[in-house]
Amino acid sequence: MDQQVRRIAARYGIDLSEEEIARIAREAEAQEKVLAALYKIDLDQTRPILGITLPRSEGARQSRRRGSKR
Amino acid sequence: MRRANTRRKPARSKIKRKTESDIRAHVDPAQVTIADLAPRVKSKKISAVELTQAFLERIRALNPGLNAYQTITEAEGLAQARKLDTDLRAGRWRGSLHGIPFSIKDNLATRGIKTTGGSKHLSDWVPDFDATVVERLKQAGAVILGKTNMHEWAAGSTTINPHYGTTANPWDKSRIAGGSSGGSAAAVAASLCLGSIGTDNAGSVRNPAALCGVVGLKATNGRVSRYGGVLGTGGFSTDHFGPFAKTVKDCALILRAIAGYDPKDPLSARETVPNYVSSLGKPVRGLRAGVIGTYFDDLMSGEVKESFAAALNQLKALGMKIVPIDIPHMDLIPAVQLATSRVENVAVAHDHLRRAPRDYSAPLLYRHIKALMIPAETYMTAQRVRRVICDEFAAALGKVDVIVAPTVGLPAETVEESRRGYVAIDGKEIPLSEERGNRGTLCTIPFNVTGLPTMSLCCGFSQTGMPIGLQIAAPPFAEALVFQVGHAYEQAARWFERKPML
Repeated sequence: MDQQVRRIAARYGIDLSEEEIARIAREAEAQEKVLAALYKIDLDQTRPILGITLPRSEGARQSRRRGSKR
Repeated sequence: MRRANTRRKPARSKIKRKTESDIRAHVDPAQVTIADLAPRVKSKKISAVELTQAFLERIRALNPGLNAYQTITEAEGLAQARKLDTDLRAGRWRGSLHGIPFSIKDNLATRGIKTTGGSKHLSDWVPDFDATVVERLKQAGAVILGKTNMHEWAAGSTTINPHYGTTANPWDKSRIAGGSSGGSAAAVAASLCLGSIGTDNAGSVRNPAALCGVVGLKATNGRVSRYGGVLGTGGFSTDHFGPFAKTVKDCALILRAIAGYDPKDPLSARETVPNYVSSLGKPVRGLRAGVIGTYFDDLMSGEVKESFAAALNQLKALGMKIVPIDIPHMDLIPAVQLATSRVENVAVAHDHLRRAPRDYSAPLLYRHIKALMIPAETYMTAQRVRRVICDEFAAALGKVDVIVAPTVGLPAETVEESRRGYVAIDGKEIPLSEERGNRGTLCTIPFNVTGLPTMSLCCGFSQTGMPIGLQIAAPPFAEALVFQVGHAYEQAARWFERKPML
């Protein structure tokens, strides 16, 4: 875990002390345990919530109106 | 007879003049609501300038001890008020918010006014545009008196801000106001404004509303435009903007003004915005309130449990049915919130992390680094689990009309306890933060994960005199139902009559 912290710190140019690296690594381990619970349920056929709301384009609206006139 | 009449007449008119003068001059900000003032402003019994001056005077007197406002916009507020008075004289009344004093959380862009997001990184940022909520409030006639203090980057629930100081709770200045919109809640509770707008990514409107004893609402995800919110002060999919007010009716008036589709926010909803006030006063007899068991039970202290139980009894007395409901995967909500909100927040923090990492407080810097360690695959898994949870809530809301829950499991702790990280409750030392999240938000995050409209209002006081909050949630876009039940409870319980001694 502390190697991962070091990699991120290097990537962002964050100067962390050894004490800070140890602390973040410790907390990240605990975080991983919390997140592990997400893998304990059956998600077969479950689609994620992605919040995509596609507005109908003006062109599509017009062609739909034309279609309905016919 | 004639002489006597002549003598009495001037005396009567003198008394009348004095009464009118009293009405105009004397507005006690602590005793009024938006609904009280709207007809007085409309009928020109009080002007927007007089109201603004009364509230500015109170801000000058009380804000130094509370630190609710970070920036006070006296000149801009008075200029706005003068314009509104001119409009009114010309017959242009803009609605119930005409001339009403407001504050805005400091992570919402305000044109020409510093907007920091509670951060050091943005300490000098002066936007050249208004967030949509601010623009809509101004159009509705609200007078903006300033920007309110908040938790650093909205990433916590205490409003102990290392850069801009701590906001004190108006009920007891040694205690936290909650957060992250702590300044907004404290400003309304202390009557330093009559309405405020906050943001709620994990409970940041409802938590401080509960701890400061005011009404706070986050509407359905998408109901209120999020255009103009400071990026990184809330997840893209978990954040909501919402109003604070002293009463449910005032909250309904504010939501009506700020809600609705905004082409600048592609995630805003095209649902029509009803007149929420018309739902107030409708009977609640026969409505079913769902109560989720274990998850919330485990988070409540003894006296919060008592207040919550008393609130349920009050709802029963109003004729509502209390129905136990089950959300099978409730315990996974903290993990979903953590994976979602932290990843979505850090996704926009790259520049600040590269340029000035130490401008973050140490805990927030560590949190961002930990968020960067969450794999993309975990984020996606969280969104799939979120679907399961949303479906479970939808099924539960097929059996009940609303869901009720405590807002925060503990009354406001002292600033000292908050800094120490432990609070003494029920004879035990309880940690304020757990790996799955902090205790201030564990009761509120279910409604960020699901996006359901949820309001917090006062449901009692602790032995130390601190307010306790009750949440009412409803199906998507059923804010009117939230207001209906909230108003019925509020009018029966009447906790709003209690005011902080300042």
